[in-house]
Amino acid sequence: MSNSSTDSHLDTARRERFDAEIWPEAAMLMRTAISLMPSSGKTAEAEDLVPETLLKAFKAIDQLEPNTHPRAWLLTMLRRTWIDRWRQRERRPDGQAIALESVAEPADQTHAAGQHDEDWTNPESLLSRFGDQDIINALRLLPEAYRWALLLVDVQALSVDEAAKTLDVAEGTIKSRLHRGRAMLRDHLHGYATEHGWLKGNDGLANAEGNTHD
Amino acid sequence: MTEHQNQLDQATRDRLAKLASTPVDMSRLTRMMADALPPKQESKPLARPARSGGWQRVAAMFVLMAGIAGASYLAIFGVAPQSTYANAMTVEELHAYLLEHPDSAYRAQTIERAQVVINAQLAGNMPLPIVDGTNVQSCCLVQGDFPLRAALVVARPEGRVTLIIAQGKDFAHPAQPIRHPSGIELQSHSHIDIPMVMRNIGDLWICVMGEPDHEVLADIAASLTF
Repeated sequence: MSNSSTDSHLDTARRERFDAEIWPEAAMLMRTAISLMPSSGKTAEAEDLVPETLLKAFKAIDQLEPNTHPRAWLLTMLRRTWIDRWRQRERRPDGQAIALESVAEPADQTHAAGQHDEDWTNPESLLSRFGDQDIINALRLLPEAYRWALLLVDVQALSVDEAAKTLDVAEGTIKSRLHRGRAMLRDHLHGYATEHGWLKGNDGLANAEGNTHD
Repeated sequence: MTEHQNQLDQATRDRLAKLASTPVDMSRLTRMMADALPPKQESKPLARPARSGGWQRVAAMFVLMAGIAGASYLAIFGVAPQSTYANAMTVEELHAYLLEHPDSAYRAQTIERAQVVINAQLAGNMPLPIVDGTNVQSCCLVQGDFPLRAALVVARPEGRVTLIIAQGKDFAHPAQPIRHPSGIELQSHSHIDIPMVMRNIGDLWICVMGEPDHEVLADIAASLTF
């Protein structure tokens, strides 16, 4: 068999596996990438991040263990692609890339998260009033490390162990970021709810029957 | 953490989980990937399970059981196994097919991940298993074909479980209504030695069937939303 026909055969086999295992996760990657972007105006960047990640996955698909769910593997690739791009843009004046830790670690460790938690007397009802876009906008306000933790575990249902491996941090760090990130998210949503009159005084919910915002 | 903080955390997690089914525009990505990847060969849909082989043995057992139980058995279960379906599979056929063809359906390792897959399939963001026919029939429902909306396999420590969600709600003969400890109403029975638990939400129903016992299946059925 010639090299070209071998390559063709390999490509066909990879394509079949890609279609069966990777492509079903493409929408998941797109959602994650869109929510990662610090502002809604960066959607086009998210749309570029995902095909780059998928092409890397196609080329490396032989490294994916058979019968392994590819989600954590793909999100690790998305993470690396994200960092590569971020580093390209954020080079220091001397041309050196900014250290990975400064990309990964929260900039603000002192923020008192959960400062309005006592107002959330009926959290399920109140949270159900926010549209998906409201929640995504609030996620975008979080430091990147918290955003990643919430997106991987709470949105995409990775285990804490998988998220720790994907983000290359300890499991305890993920747990801490999850708890703190959720509290920070509620703080941002609290402001939004107050603006819209959904919180009245200290009773936690002005009108549970109101319309949601999408 | 206080009980209130736990409640807040759980409510926040639940709300975030719903983002997993937010619709996204895939048209541009689909075009980009079609241009970037090597062309795929025409693939034929997987053939539906042959009626000879494993399923035939199951059907034979059904006939034997029906013979023993008398004609009333068919009256109870409604649909004879010899029925021919133009473009539909029974839930038992689909269950057997998904287990026999590991590549045909998504396999979740946890209930949380199964929920994510169900959300994605119901939202049309994840393909259904490739089977010949998109309708299903069930002995538990009024006779008819019901559009398949989600199907996957969950690998549990107690054994493999198939989750099948279809459009439909009218149970034909609730063999054994049960109430889960959570208060959720379920239907439970066994069909040809396959334990099943069914649940209805709105105009959808789920059939949870497989190798574990009814108690495990009921826990799964009660923990899912759709």
